[in-house]
Amino acid sequence: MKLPLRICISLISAAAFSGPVTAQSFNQSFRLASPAAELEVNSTRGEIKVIAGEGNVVKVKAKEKDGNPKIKAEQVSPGRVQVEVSGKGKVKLEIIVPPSSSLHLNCYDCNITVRGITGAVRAVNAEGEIQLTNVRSPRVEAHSTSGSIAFHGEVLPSGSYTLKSFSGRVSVELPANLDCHLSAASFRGGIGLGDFDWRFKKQTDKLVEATIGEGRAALNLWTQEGTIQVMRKQ
Amino acid sequence: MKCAIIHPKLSDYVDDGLPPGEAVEIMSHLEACSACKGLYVDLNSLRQAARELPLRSPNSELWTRIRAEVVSESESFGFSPAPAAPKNWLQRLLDKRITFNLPQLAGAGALAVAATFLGINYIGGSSIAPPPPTAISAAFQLEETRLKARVDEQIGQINMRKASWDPEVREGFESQIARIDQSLEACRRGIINNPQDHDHQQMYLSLYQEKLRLLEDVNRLKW
Repeated sequence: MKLPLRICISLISAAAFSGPVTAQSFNQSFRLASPAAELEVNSTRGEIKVIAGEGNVVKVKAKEKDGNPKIKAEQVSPGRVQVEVSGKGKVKLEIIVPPSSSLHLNCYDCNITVRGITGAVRAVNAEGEIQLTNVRSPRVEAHSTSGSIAFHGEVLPSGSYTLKSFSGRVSVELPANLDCHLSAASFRGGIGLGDFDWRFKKQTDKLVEATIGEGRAALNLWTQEGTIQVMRKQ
Repeated sequence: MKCAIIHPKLSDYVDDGLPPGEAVEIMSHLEACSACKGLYVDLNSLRQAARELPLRSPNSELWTRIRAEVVSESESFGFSPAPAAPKNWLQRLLDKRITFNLPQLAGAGALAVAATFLGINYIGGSSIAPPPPTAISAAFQLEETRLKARVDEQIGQINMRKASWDPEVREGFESQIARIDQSLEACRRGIINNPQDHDHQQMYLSLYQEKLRLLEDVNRLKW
């Protein structure tokens, strides 16, 4: 009966701190029922860093950088944590989650960093860089308007990887044993495809459709004004 | 399509009230006709400005006076509709008892000036030749119309909340939207110049989808 008691305590403590707070710094932990956690973050400005940790715990650290933002973190169900930053100002968020967590990260003006995650990832911003490092996820989606997007990770069979930036650079570093179908489109910036043996279905200066291996995973890269760079991991 | 045919349809075009095929023909004409394009930009600016103003209801006496003035103005410029013709923006306006705010009434004055310009051009029978009709696929037009409607809906929601944003963020957001719109415009020109260029169509729709994605994600944030 140890686990339910912990969950009860964490839910009670989460409820007690669930209101938005204005703080110079903010620390809160949530114990989850299982490692299959879901984390949702909505923030206006600042930074979001999500790192894979150990155990069934989500730890949220927030540091106010300027202005008077309000931070609200709560466990809305045994497996789901929501963090919301509102108001004017910037907040630096550092969140540790179980590696298999699913992430939904949305920020207007933030650098977003995700490291070591194996669950599904959706990271979006309008301004700021998005960096996905050591990711081994079956589903990755990253969108930025003016920021660059960098993916360093594995492409799993039947996985889906969509990286899109309006004016930023889109770069992916992939293992040599790649097995995927690639759709890449860059209206102005150009496309570099790295040292892979692609079988081209279509290749123009703006659009590329190509396959490597059996083409099981789907890799979809797009930028209107930036460049696309596919690199082979050394 | 001649300018004289375009002019009565411009307000419906600004309001997204035209069938997709007709809207594309007008879009093509606007690409080639700077006079109509200028008028379109003015009407669109008025529409956007009016949407952002607070609502106020005029009393019935004021409404009656405005109605009489507008009827008088429209008749003097030959805007009386044929009985069986579908109702245009002006006729629908006259038929409805709608809520106006005071600045919108000022905008109506500006519209009356625009109507004068329209009337003069209409009577004068301007005949700038537009490019030949394009062969853009119906599927593309449908998708564009669907995306445009969703984008407009999201922009409407953002405009209601934008005043409370950090001014720096608001400025950045507007600048990004302007850049995306410029890029959309460049793509659209490419499609009109070469309607069979499916790569351009694909890039255009991808960009529109990304604009929609940005707006939806911005709308999810609490400012």
